[in-house]
Amino acid sequence: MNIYRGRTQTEVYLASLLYDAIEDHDISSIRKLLVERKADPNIILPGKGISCLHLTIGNDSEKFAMEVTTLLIQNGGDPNVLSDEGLTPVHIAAAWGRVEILKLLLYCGGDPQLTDNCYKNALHYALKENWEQAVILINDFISCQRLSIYDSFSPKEKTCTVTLDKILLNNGLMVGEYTNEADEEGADEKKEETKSEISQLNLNTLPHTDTQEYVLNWCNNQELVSNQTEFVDDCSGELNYCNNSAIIITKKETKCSSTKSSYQSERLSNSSISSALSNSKTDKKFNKVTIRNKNKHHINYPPQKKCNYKESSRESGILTLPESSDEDGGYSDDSFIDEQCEFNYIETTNNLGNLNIKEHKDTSSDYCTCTESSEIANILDKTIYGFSNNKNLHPPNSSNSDDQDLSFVSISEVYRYTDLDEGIVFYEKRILVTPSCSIQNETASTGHSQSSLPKSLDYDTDTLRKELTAQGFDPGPITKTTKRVYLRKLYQLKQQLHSLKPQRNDEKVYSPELQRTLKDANWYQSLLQYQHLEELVKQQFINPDPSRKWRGGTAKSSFTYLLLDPRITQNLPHRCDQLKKSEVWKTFISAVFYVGKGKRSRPFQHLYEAVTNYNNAKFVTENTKINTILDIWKDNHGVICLHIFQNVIPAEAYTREAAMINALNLQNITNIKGGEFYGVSATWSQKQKNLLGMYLLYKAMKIFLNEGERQIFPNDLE
Amino acid sequence: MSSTSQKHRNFVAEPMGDKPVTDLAGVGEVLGKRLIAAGFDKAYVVLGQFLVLKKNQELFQEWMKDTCQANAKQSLDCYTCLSDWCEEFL
Repeated sequence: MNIYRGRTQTEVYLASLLYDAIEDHDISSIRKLLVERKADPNIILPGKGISCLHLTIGNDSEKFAMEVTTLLIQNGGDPNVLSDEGLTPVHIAAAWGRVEILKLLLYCGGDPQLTDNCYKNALHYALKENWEQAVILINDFISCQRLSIYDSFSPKEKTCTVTLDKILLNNGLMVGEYTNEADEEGADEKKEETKSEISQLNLNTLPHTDTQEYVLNWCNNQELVSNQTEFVDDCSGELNYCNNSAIIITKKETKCSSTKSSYQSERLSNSSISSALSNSKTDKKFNKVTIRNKNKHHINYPPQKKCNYKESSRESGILTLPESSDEDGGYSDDSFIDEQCEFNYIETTNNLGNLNIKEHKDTSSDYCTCTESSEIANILDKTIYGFSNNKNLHPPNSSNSDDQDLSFVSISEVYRYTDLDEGIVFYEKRILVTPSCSIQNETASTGHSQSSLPKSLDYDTDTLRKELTAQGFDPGPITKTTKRVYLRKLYQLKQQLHSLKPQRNDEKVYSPELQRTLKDANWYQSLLQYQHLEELVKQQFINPDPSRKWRGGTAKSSFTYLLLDPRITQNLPHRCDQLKKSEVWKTFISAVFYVGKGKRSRPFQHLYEAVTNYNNAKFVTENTKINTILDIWKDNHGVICLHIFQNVIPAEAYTREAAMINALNLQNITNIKGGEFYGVSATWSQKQKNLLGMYLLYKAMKIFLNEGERQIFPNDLE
Repeated sequence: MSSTSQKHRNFVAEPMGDKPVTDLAGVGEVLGKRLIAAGFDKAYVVLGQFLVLKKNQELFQEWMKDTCQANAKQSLDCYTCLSDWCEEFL
C-alpha cells in the first residue's frame, strides 16, 4: 500500500476527488464525499502542495467559497493546516481579503499569528493587499489573545471568599435562624481565610456540619418543643433564645384540641424530615454535632391558635385583629399568617435588639419583607405567594399529610461573599429546594392552587372599601351579600397588579424557535433531538486541539451565567410543582434579563459595578443591566445568579452565551451586544443556533429548579 | 339584539311586580331553588342585588356564580334581562 505523508492511498484518493469536485463547483458531490465517504479536507495533495481547504478559500466566487468552507469546517477542516509553503487557510483568506471566511476561520480556532516559510503572518498579507476590514479583524483578534495570554501567565490568586453566614428555616408558622458566631468576630479572621479554598472555608467556619444536619437539628429541636408544650404552661409569650444549643421555648398554653392536632401534624412532619435526613447521617455524629455547635439558635414560635393569638396581641398592644370568618376552621391558620409574621417581627424587635433586626431586614426577605411593610397590601401579596403552601395543611390523620407537611419547610442559607481587592461584600441567599417538593402529590396541589379565593384574604368592610378605592375601583355598598364578590374583585385586581410586569414581558418576542415552544406545550418531548447540537459544540472543546487558538485560552475555568429577576420568578423552584410545565418555562424565560460569561476566580464580578453604584446611592446609569439590578435591590430582593455549564474553556462559554442570547433575542434582555459563536457552531444556520440556545435554556431551567434560588444581595449594612 | 329569549321578552315587557325569581331570564328551576335558599325568592330581590352592585356586569355575574353556581351564559342572560328591564322601567 502506498503511503503518502502518513496517509493511506484511499484517503489521498478521496481527498483528490474532493479537490476535483471543488474545482468543478460541484456542491452535491462535495457534500457526498465529505459526509458519506469521510474525505479528509486537510490532506495536502501530492503535486498540488495545498489542501482542499486552501483551494476553496481562494475560489473565484466568494459565495461558493463561503459555502464550501463552511462544509469543510463542519467536517473536520482545520484552519491551521500548513501547505507546502507553510501557508495556512488563514493566510489565504487574509491575502484574498475574504473577511467573512477569515472571521469564520478565526472563530474556529485559526491562529492569526502563525508565520509561513517567508516569516509572514496573516496580518502581513492583509496589509500588503490593503484589506482594511481584514486588518481590523485580525488586530482585534490578536489583542484578544494577548489579553488571554496575560491572564494565563498571571494566574490571579483567589481573592474572594464565600462563607456561610446563617441558615434560615421557615415553615410559614415558625422561623428558625442559625447565625454563625464566627462571623461576628470581625475582619481579622477573614483576612487569614482569604487565600484558602472556598470549599474548605465553608467547613472551617461551620465545624463538621452541613445543612442537612442543621435542618435535622432544628427539626429535632422543634419536635422537642412540641413535645414539651404540654408541660410548659408559662404565659409569657416571649421569645427566648440562648447559646450552645440549649433551647428554652416558652409557649402559650394550648387549650383547644384542634391546636393539638396541628401539633401532631407538625410532629409528623418533623419526624419524617428527621428520618429522611438521618438516612445519610448517623445519629452518633449528629449528637456530637449538637454539642460542638456554638451557634445561636433563634426560634420564633408564634402561637398558633386564634384565641392565643388574640391574647398575645393584646399583650403587645400593637396589633389589631381583623374580623375572622368561621369557615377558616381550626387547623388552617392561613388568614393569620400575615399577622403572625408581623407578630413574629415585633417580638424580635423587642427581644433581640438591633443586631438581629438588621440581619432580618437584610437577608431574610422571605418572611420579613412582608413584616416590614406596614401596608396591608404588601402583606397580602406576600401571603398569597409566600405561604401558599400552607393551604396544604391537613388534619394529621389524612393519608398524605406527611408529604404535604414536609413541603412547607423552606430552608435558606445565607452566604457571605467577600472580595477584599475590590472591597465588595455580597450576601447570597440560597433558598434550598426541599426534597419533598418532588414527592408532592401533584393533584393535591393543583386542587389548592385552583381555589379561587385564598383564605388569607379577609377584610372588614371599611378596609375592603379603602383597598378597592386605592386600586381605582369604585365599590357599591358592601353588605353581607356583596362582600364576597368585592373580595374576589380585590383579589383579582391585586393579581393583575402583580402580573403587570410579566404582562409587559409577554410582549417579548423571542426567536421563532423559542416562540414556538411557548405555544406547543409538549415541545420538550422532542428535546433529545437538540441534544446532539450541544454534543457537537462540546466535542471540540472538551480536549481542545493545541494547534488551534481559542479566544481566552484553554483554561477550563469559565462558566456561563444567567441573571434572573426574582420579582418574576417568585421562588419558582418552590412553586414549580403547582404550575404547569409550560408556565414554569415561560416564567423562567421571561425572568432572564442578562446572559453572560464569567470566570471561576471571581464568580460575581459582573455585579461589582452595580454594587458600587448601589453603595453610592446612584440608582440610574446608562447601562440597562445595572439599572435592572439596582431596581431589584431597591425592591428588597436579591438578584438571582444562575451559574451554569461550569468548568469549560472560554470559547465554549462564549458560544453557549451567544446561543442563549440568540434564542432569547437581544431586545428582550439587557445585553448590549449578541455573543460570538466559536468552533463548529460558527458555521451553523441561525435556526440551529437558536435551537441550541433553546436547549441550553431548558437545561439551565432544570438546574435552576433543582438548585433553588440563589439571591445576591448587596451588603448595605456598612 | 338578534336573539333574546321569549322569557327575556316577557320579563322586560312589564313591571316585575311580585314575580318569582324563576321568571328572570337565565334562571330556571335549579338556579331558582338555589337563589330561594339564599334568600332571593323574588325577582325584585335579585334586582336589589343588581342595583347594589351598581349594575356592574362583571360583579353581578360573579355574584350569580357565587350564590347559585350559575354558568356564564345563565348569569349573562339574567344580567341583560335586568339591565334591559331597568332601561325600560327605572
